[in-house]
Amino acid sequence: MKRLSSEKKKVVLFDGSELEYVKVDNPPRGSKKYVYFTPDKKKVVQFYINKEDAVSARNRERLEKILKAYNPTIAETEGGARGASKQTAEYFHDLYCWPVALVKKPEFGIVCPAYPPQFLFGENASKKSININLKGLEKKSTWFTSSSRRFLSDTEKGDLRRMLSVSIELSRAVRRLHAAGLAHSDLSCNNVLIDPISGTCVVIDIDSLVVPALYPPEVMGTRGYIAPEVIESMALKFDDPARKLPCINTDLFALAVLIYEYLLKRHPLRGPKIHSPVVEEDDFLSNGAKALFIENPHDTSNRPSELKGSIREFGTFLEKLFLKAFVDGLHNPPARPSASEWERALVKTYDLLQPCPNANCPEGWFVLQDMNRPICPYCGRTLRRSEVAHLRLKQPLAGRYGHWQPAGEINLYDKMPLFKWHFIANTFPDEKIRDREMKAYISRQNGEWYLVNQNMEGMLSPKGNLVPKGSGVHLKDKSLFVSSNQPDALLMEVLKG
Amino acid sequence: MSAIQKYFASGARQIDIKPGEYEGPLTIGHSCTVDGHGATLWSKVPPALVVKASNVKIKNLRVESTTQARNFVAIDVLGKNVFFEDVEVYGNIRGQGFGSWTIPRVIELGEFAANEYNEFSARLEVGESCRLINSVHGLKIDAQNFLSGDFELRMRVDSMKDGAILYGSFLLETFDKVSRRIYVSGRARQGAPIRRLPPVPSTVDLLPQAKKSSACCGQRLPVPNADTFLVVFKAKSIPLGVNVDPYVFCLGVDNKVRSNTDLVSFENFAHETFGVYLDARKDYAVVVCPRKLPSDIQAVVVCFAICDVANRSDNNFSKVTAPRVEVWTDDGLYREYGLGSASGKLAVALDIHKSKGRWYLRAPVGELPGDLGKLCELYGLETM
Repeated sequence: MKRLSSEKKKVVLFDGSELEYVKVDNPPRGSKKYVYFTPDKKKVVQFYINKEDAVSARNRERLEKILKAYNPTIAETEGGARGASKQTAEYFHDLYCWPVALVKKPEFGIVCPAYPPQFLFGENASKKSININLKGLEKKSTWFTSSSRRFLSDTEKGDLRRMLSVSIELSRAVRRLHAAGLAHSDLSCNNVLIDPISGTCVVIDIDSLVVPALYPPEVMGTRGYIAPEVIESMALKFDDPARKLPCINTDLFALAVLIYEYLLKRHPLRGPKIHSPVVEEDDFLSNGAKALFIENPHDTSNRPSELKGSIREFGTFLEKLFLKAFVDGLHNPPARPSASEWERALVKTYDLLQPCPNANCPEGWFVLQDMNRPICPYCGRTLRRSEVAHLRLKQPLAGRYGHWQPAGEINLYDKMPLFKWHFIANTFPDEKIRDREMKAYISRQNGEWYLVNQNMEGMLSPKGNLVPKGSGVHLKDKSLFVSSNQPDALLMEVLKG
Repeated sequence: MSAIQKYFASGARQIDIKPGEYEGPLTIGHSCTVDGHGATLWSKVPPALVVKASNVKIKNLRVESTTQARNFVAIDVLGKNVFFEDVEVYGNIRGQGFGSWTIPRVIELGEFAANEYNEFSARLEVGESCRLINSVHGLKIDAQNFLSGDFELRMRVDSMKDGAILYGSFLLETFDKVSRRIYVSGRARQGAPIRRLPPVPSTVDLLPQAKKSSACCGQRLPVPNADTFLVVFKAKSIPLGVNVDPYVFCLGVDNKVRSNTDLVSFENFAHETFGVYLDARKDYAVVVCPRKLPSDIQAVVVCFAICDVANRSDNNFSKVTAPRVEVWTDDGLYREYGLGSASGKLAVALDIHKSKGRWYLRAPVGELPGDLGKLCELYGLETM
């Protein structure tokens, strides 16, 4: 058997500096590039398989822009994307594997950060009874959303809360790209690595980013995530005006598919309906012109006979968006929910999570929107009414002091942390918020609910008294109080089960 | 030593407290000016603030105790010449010149009928004269200014949709710029009862009961050692379509106003110093606080004028049955006198003037000049 050899080599970057990498005989490769690691394994150097891609001036120009002018992980003051502050650049640095340099010699290439370690399987990732070594493999979402899930140890699988967190991060990453006028063009399970343990994700393959109307896409996408209109028009010539190419709207289709998969562990369009006895043609139609959502309320012809779980379990915010994506927007791209809509709906849903008291519940959490039906849909466990409470939030109505409009609702559970966005209007837990410190938490003692001030200035009780740090407020049913004496403080209404 | 007390350890004359919350109690033991910059001083056991020194000024601070006790003292003033500016307090201030307050922290309106206006009342014990600052949309409160004493606060909430919540606060601010906040909370609901109040009782039933004494028109009396006067126009009956509006002239050494703002009326309801202001209750009333007035104001003339919507020349005081003036102080009714039968549209009800450093009060005898315009000219006001 021939021993694999490796040797250290150097590349020269366009900024004149040099970078060492470890050249091996059989490097990992994707569809377009092969990859070498730097000696410290913190970066990867990628060279193109097809040398025409390397010499293309248009490609180089696009990559130079991706590196700098379109780069949200670098502050605008340092040449990065417009609107990027140091704070937001730092935040998005963790959400993408964004290229950091271009290679000039010995041939054109790209330098990217290596995937953070949490997105690679470690020791004991598979079940003990399964003889599979997953160590070092990338955590593509198919491991967690398909039948491959059965090979994983329970500690790897995460729970609903973590998958919601992953979905929030992904929608935020896509939102940022779209806000800059960019489209990923190949969002898929292969290009979004997820870690259900930490509830995080990272978007990779950034070098295939598309600037619609400036730098057209070079890939059409990955099967299962290509928008129906792209598949339908695939047979047309590239320059045919009727040809639909990857763009922001097709990203939104892929985003919706990914979120559906993360939460429901199945593909939204793969159902029992057969459109053609010819497999390829059936595939073409099922994902293209005849694509039909398996939970379409108006047409159940593609609904699996044993459908476990549904979009209704996630509350009205997400249910509405899934229908918008896969019914209204399936064949009507402009009707698809934007990444920003997904982000907001996911955050609102996150605030309605309830831990399931059943230690054996497969998901550990469920969305408790209807306080009259506190039943876990994953294990059937019913909570007692006394175990259920909500805080209905209201924000001041502009120009009408003393009047309020709905601002959301949060489900309470023991030790639930509360943050600034739960107390002050017009604050949202995104990349721009500086204050991420826990401000208060919920404590349930002897059947009673308390709001305990950890670090919130100006917190008020239902009687209007100051609640100093370290003190708590007894939350009585139907009590109404302004959460703080700060401007734009939210009004809180206690609702008990 | 608490964190905030350390600010004062240096004995500095000017002390700036960083915004934030501080647990007291805090004791001010030396003459200084304290600027809280919006900070909150609180304590579990009252008082939260003790001012032992004299010549202290405290501003931009919120003071409260988190105790559940009633009528507690939040600030104890032991020194002299202690002034407050833009201080919000929850609780009483104990010290000379400060009265006792019993006010609710929250006025719970409960559920009230949607799509209807609703009325509510709340009892307040107000320790010092103050004005009400309310910006709650759709909440109307019948009085803007208060003398010290017990009051029934009458509120009206405009029509609100079913399910709408009203939650806001108003302030009672004394002339020393010490304010107290009261929250109002309620919800409109379809099917809830419509809340209405009985008609307003007459002023004399609301003011503190005390001995009455009469005076003759023209009598000159030294002003008693009272802080504030309430001058009220009363009558047995006033015809429909006729209003009686108060006009108060604050006059300088030349017996003329210094500027147009020295005329207090419905267009300028309070003198800039709050030494004179109108009470917005139905009974026509003016509050005069001579010590608040600037030193160059030598006289205050209180008049009541007929405001006739139809502008009929025969609508004058002769149509008003038994017009009289009552002068009240904190101790009760000080003087009252009739205005006699009059045929003009203007009645000078009272003048307070300074002579040799002392204020005197005079009830004028039948002085009813032709009209308000002439009186304005007499006192140096520009008229249109």
